[in-house]
Amino acid sequence: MAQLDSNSRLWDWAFVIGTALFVLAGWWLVAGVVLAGTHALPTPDALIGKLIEDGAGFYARHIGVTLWSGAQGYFWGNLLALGVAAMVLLVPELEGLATQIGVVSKCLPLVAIGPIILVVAGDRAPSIFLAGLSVFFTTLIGALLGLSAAKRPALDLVAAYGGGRWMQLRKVRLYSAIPALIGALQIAVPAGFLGAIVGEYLGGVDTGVGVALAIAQSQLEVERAWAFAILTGLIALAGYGLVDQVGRRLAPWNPAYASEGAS
Amino acid sequence: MAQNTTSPRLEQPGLHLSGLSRHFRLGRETITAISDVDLTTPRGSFTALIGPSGCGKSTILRILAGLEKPNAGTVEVHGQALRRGAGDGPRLGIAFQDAALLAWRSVFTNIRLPLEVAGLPVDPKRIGDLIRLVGLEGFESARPAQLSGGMRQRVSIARALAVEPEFLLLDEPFGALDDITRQRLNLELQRIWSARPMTTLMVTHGLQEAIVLADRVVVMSPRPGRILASIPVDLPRPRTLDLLRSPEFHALQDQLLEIMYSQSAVASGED
Repeated sequence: MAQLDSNSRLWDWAFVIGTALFVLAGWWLVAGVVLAGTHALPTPDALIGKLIEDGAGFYARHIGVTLWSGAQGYFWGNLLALGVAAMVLLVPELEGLATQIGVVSKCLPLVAIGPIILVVAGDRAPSIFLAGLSVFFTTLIGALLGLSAAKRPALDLVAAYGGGRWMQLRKVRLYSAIPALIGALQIAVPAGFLGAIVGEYLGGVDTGVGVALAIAQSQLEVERAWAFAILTGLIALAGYGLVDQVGRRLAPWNPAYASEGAS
Repeated sequence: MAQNTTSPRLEQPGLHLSGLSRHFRLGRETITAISDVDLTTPRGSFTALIGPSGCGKSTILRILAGLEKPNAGTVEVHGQALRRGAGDGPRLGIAFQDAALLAWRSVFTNIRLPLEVAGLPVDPKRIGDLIRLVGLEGFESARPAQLSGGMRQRVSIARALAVEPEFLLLDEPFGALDDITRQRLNLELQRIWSARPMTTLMVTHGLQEAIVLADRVVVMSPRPGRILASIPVDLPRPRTLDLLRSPEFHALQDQLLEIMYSQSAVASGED
């Protein structure tokens, strides 16, 4: 078993490295040959050169600010979504209304709401608000989906032993909700990060990924724009992975992890 | 609850269903699941309820479990009107075809669940005994996903026994298992039950396991479910796999098959 495990892990790594090399080669080909001279896409070496030239501090400063806004938005948006889900739990009749609130929140044009928040609260508020708005829908839908994920026989079992709705909730439905909820919280990470960046585009602040991107755009700093794009992508991926790890610690029984480890 | 020692256990009332009917509305149609079911079994006896799928046998079980209400008729268990939950009525233990184990709980805490729900005290030693009884020693902290189908059903049986039930409902408990595992678990169930006979109703569509386990086999008709026959099984216990080759077993099996086939012939003739 151990032998097999380490073997398959080796293959996993070989696959990851192979894919990375393939993507890198493709990137080089497209940037250096196909799009050569257009400035649309820098070659990997040009991009790394720009990273070194600007310095890690430059990127860390802007990304750090945006991450903090995104994290605050992630916190408040999720808290609100879980609060609404909890209300649906207590009053199931509210589920239709909650879903509508979620859909409306998803359909609000961010660029229209942002300026209003900017006028009212200013500073980082639009960034935090848009991050929160971006995670609210995914988490709310995930939580509502999770609350209806309990299997009928498990609920019947509790009922047969005299458990009412409250007991079914405590013993079965809350736990059954965890897999869908963790999935939603994972997807919410990149959504929240993106929301924070969009919020910075609206102005009122002088640091952050959104600001830096807007400046890079106006100065035709293609390499820098791409450097931000790739760094933020990697950070969003890392956040997604972090929530996944937390989820694995909290709920190792989650069937989503069943394909690994079992057998 | 009267422990009447003067009259033999089997003459006290066990299950008593009278005029039980249940129908469902499906769009404009009304589907009759069971119609005018009467059934009386002695206390401490094992009854197998057998019939084709969709004959309403699971409906009867769900009514007895308090999960559904009949449209007509009454149910008494041990001489008391059915009460949902742990209340004052005889204690119920139940196992479903789908083991319905909670994925986030260990074997131990899954078996403990009914005690938590019914608000009964948890004695870890007794749960340990139950785990030994169903042969899962060493798997106390395993999660359901780490168990085979047969082991999950063992947990399900142990869980049904956790409340020390006087009244046991089994809904095709081994229906999803392979033949060999099912036969083995049936013999184990017989051993467990014989050591502590409870008023038991098992729903199944397996003739063989019905005869091996039950004191009485009740045959139901296709929908709408009615009781066609109630045949006593006077074979000595403990029943073994050798029994399956005995003429008595085959005679009984033929008798039951005849009842079932005559009825399905009538049903298809009507169509």
